Amino acid sequence: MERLERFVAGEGNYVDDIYVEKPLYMAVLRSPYGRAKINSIKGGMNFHDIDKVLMSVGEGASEGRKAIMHPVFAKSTVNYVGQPVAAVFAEDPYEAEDMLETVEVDYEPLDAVVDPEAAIKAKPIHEGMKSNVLSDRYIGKKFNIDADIVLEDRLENHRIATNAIEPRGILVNYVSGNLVIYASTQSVFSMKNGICGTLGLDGDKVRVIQADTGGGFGLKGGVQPEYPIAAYAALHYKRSVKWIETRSEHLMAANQGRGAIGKMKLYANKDGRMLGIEGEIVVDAGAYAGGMAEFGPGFIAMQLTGQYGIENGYVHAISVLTNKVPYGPYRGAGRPEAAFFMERMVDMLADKIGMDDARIRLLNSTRTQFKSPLGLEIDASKPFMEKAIKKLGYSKSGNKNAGLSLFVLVPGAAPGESARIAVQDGAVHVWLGSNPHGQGHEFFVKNLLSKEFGIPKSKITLEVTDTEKIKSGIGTWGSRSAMVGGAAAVTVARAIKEEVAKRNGRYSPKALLAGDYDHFEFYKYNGSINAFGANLAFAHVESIGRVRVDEVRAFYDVGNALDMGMVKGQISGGIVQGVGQVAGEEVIYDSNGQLLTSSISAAGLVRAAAIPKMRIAVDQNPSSLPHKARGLGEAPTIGTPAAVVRSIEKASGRRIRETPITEDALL
Amino acid sequence: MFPKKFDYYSPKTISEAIGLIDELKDAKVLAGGQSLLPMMKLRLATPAALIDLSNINGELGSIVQDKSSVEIGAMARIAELAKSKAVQKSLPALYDASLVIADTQVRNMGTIGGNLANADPNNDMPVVALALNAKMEVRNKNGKRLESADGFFVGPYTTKIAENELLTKIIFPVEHGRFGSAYSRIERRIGDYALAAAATSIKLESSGKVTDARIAVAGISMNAIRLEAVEKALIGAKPDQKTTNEITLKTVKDIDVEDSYYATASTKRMAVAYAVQKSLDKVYERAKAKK
Repeated sequence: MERLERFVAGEGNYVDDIYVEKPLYMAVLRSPYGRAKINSIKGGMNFHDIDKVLMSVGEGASEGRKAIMHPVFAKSTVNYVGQPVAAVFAEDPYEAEDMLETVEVDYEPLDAVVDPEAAIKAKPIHEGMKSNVLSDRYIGKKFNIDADIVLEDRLENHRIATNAIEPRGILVNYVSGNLVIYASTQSVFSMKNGICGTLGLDGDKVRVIQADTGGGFGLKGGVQPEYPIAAYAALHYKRSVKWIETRSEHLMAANQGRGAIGKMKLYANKDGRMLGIEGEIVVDAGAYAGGMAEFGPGFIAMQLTGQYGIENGYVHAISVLTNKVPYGPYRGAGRPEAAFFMERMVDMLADKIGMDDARIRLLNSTRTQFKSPLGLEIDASKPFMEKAIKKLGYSKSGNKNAGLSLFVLVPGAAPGESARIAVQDGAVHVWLGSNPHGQGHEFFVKNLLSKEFGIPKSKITLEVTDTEKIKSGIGTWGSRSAMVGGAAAVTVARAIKEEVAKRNGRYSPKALLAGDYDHFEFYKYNGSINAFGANLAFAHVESIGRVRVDEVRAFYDVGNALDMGMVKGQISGGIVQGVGQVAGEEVIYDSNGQLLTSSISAAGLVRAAAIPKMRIAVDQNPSSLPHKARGLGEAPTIGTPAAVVRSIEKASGRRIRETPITEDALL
Repeated sequence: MFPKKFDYYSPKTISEAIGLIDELKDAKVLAGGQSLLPMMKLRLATPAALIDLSNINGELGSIVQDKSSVEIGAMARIAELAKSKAVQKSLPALYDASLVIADTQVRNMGTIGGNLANADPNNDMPVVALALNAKMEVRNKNGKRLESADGFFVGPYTTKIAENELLTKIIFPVEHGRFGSAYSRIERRIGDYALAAAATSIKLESSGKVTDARIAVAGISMNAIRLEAVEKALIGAKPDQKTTNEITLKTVKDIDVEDSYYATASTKRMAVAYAVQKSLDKVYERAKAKK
């Protein structure tokens, strides 16, 4: 059965569904403190067994400094609530939970550092550091210009828990000295390299197979402590080991996203032309380096000018360590933050000079290709934006609370992606280096290859990504799969077609299916194909200061749409996330670093009743890739929050500076 | 999400259940389990034993109406209240609440007695019991007594039910004539805990003047409370929305409310005032419609 049929029939094979005989169940003892000294640990598996730090992989990987990298097990200190301190193993999950009580840890609580802005000047949380500042860069060039208007504001996207419906999970099978790992993951390669790199294992001994994965959202693209712990335990006990994260664990110990502050300064003329931006981006890195934190603030800063032709830019990009679970990539991973910060300033300028939201945006869009002072390269944005504003029905809507947002999606397509196609017994088997976790990769694969090969879709199967079956690859994040995964699939298909022609004198579908072919290629890509997008939102405020989003419209340039059903599915899902971010999603810690939002309900997830009406349309300006596609996945998460917030701003008459919008901001 | 080991008892009669409560150490009574079981899964509650009341349903789950009251067994499921003609007709506030508590799955399992005995500060049933002037039948091995809703809720998660006792029945007086009651809750998202909740009941004389009023709220205190100042202001008046709202806001202003991570004190006060208003609007409609 194909994935979609399996899922709809309730026959998904998620990691917790995979049966092996008598696995050991792992439970993790986690820090109850935001920050504490560990005087002693007795019992369970702990740092005495694994005294290592996580190797960082995934988007925005950084060359770590050992002292501030995430330890597999906490050693001398704990730095966030939920940090793994020890692990225990038992024959069933209930017993494993009981066994946690056999571990004795002597903690000495220390003052936690929670507020990222205060953390910049606070006493360092890690010994040997001069401050909590983890990365500190200036992007662009200082400028001195005469501007009629200078506007300043402080904007913030609060932290969010990733909260995929399926939490994290791993099953490590011990097979005569080797490990066969099933994981809920966005990348079998990240998982393999992360585990092997962290534990110093030989790659030949480890095979990683993707289990059906119920949502990833960035979190499942990298390695976290529980995976090497489970792998180590399987080797140690010579038994299979299973760990399935509970929702409570997820909320405290899985990387969180957003958590960025933008202190913006916009220079403009009173005719509405924007001349320059200065700013300071502060990202709350959480307790350790090695994830996305070093690269996050610079990535946000780089994108700030968005679709606008702003000639001057100078931004201070900082990430700062705090006593929270480390920051990680989450649905857009810096892109939504950049769009939010910029669009809020454009709206502020529009209000200041009394100019229409759409007019001021078009006035500042670009007529030619443009390289921004902060390093963003875009095509001429004006033609698309004019079309988008019309298509969205901005002026026709007659709704004076219409919130508009324009943005550019910068995909994470580098360094490219791999594909392998094997033809045997009259069927075509495809493996991609980037595996689906809800995006429906099989749809674009079947559409592209049935066209390319001239064969029915039923002859084509997208196989499960497995490090034994495809030798290298990257993974699924950053709106990259349809772009570079698709390009890889097409490139491999063309190589096979040439091979068919070589063997048979010319290519024919019949000759293809009658033969045996097996070809792998890594499609290298380091270009900068962006995609423009625009959203329009209609929202209102109920009398008690609650935000209700009535309708969200989207118009995005997706290049060649490889599968319209999946395109619309991706967009709808992303819109719901954007609504959630504005209407209530948030992770909250108190001043001791205690997590207050400890249930999925408290974390503010949107429920079905709050899903707005949607109107989705796409533009298809072909890209320069062999199959003409562009990135899409993150687009709705970038455009939706800024549009919804603008609508609420108009409806309430209050300036909105933060997501989520609280009742307090509106009452 | 894996509870600690516990012993499980399934008594068939009320007296058997009371016997078990009396004899077992560190036992918890299991009604619908919608609060207790999650707490146990999180190991925030670790009772040594559970005494499951679901097999006493016949005796504990009934809804019986006579002229002056509706008697509801403590094990009546919220979903059953929502289906009961007696509740819909005679106890509109309870009917309102039984439609909006949490979600369908919770309402199918959750019970009125469990909700009241748990006495969660923001829960739905305590305010309803207060507004409808309910009496709780509490039993122990020596017999039974009635506790009035007004004195029943002692503090957060604390009631007049002692360690060795069981809540068996809730008796709601039935009012005749121009009477109305209603329940409103303010929630951020459907199915969430209430940010604020209000249950109200009023009696009108033929002129339209209020002769009696009970207004109970949750969300600004450690247990459900009555806003007596608002009740007093209503009696003898033909209240209009604006005046009532002013009085309510003034009354909640005097209540000491704590900021929480999910809402500041001022938001909570506003939400309570808004819930009272929404509830009263419904009540007037209902009372005026009666001859």
